[in-house]
Amino acid sequence: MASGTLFLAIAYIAMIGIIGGWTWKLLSRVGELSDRLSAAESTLAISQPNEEEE
Amino acid sequence: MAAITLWLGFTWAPGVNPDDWKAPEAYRILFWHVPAAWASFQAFTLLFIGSGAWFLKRLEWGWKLHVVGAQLGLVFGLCVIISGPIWGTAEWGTPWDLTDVRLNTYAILTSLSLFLVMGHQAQADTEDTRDTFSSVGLFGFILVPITIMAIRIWQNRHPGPVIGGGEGSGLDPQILMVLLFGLFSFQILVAGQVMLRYIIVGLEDRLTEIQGKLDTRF
Repeated sequence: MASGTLFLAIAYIAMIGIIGGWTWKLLSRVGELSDRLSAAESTLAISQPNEEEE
Repeated sequence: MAAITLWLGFTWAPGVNPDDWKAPEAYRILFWHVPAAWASFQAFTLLFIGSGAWFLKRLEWGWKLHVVGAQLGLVFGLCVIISGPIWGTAEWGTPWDLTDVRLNTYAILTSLSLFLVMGHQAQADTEDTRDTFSSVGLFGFILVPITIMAIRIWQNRHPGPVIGGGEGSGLDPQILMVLLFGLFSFQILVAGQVMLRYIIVGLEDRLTEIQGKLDTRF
């Protein structure tokens, strides 16, 4: 019984780790891209008035 | 919902006699093992459709679907490949059986997705490399029906089909209920993962577009 529960726990921890790790990686990538996109859009917005002034 | 499946698997089906499975408690691995396997087959189907769309029609969405299918195939394939031998150790006394067709074809299928994911990261993104990887995705898909049918044709160590397996197969209604709930929750998980991956692709495309505009300005 104990070894069965141990095997069960190991299997579920492994599966949770794989799916959770992958989802975490995707969410981190979304956050990183959103930050970079905001920065790029800000730079683009700043550069537009300068061009108009020129 | 997958977490609810896990909770139900541990708490709601205790009325079943686990001695029938010869592995007390360890049988509960199936509540995620089987849905993960089905999810991986769906991912390999996405990989096949995407590969075909790119290889035959040069459709950009096809390539993106190919990449998503390979990644999700690897994620869910690893869940199956890792949980299966743990279950096998508890139930059979051995983690693997090299004479079992089901185990071996599934291992090759997961290795194929690993090859594709590593290849996508290591190789330059050119039409030639896309063609190569797409052809692997197209021909590798043949392993999916072989893997599904293996337990019906050459059943050895791996248990037979639990749903639609004919007379003598089937599950206790309580176990079946939790398993079906698990299958449904993993469908939502797959859909969510695909959507998340497409959000990333959309953000990457937008970023590339803005960077292109900035490059022309400065």
